[in-house]
Amino acid sequence: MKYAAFIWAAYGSSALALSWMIIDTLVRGWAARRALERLEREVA
Amino acid sequence: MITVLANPHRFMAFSRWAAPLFGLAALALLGWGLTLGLAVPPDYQQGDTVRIMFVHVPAAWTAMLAYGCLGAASFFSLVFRHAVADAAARAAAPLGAGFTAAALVTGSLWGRPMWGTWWAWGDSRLVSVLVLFLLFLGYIALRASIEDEAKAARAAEILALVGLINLPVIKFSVEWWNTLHQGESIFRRGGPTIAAVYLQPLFLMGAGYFCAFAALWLTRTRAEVRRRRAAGLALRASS
Repeated sequence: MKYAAFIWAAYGSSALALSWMIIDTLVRGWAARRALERLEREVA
Repeated sequence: MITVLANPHRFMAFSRWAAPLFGLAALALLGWGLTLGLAVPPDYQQGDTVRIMFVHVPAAWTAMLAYGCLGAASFFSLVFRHAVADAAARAAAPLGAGFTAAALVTGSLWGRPMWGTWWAWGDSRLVSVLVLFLLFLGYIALRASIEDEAKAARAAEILALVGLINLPVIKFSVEWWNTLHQGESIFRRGGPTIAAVYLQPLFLMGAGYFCAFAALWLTRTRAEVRRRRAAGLALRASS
């Protein structure tokens, strides 16, 4: 396939960007949930 | 709908089932789009590099959608003081930056074999998308640089609203100026100029990217709502 390196690099960089967004979102969501649960327990 | 979701409790109840639903739809659409996109025949002019279009164009569309959402959420937060709107605006910015970065990198990877250059400073479409990326970064930096959250939110909302002017500039840049970037070929009067065999995977990938953005945006907004609730509880506990 001609220009295969460019095509795979484009798909790879897109996968990388999506993976970063998914991981960062899940980690933030998990951390916020844990922090809120801990505080709710403390306040109660 | 917006007034209903302005209530944090109703938003949390809605997003609890909507976020995973959008996530599943994104997986299905991206899988289907990729399968078709990698199987289409090479274009008579672009050859196999036409396949880059299936990740580049949806990323660019989603970047603009993300800025539209950031602008709309900023408007509702600034004018109506909706609590969830500010959280939604803050949640949209990093996602918008991510999709814009993906559009810029994949566009550059298409430009090198097709135009013979990675980047052209004289091209209004390329530069206006770079401005979009800088607007997202500016919004994130502005919010992070002011300690008072309310003041940071107001300043960032104004920046987001001013930056909305860049969206029509991106859309019409290929009509208003002579650019290296090809003219409008999909959403144009007279119909698309792209062959139907390429349109199907392109629209599937576009819908997949939109659903992925919606799932991530809702999830990040949920995290932001929880962070604020935790900050309120911490304040109450310390006083």
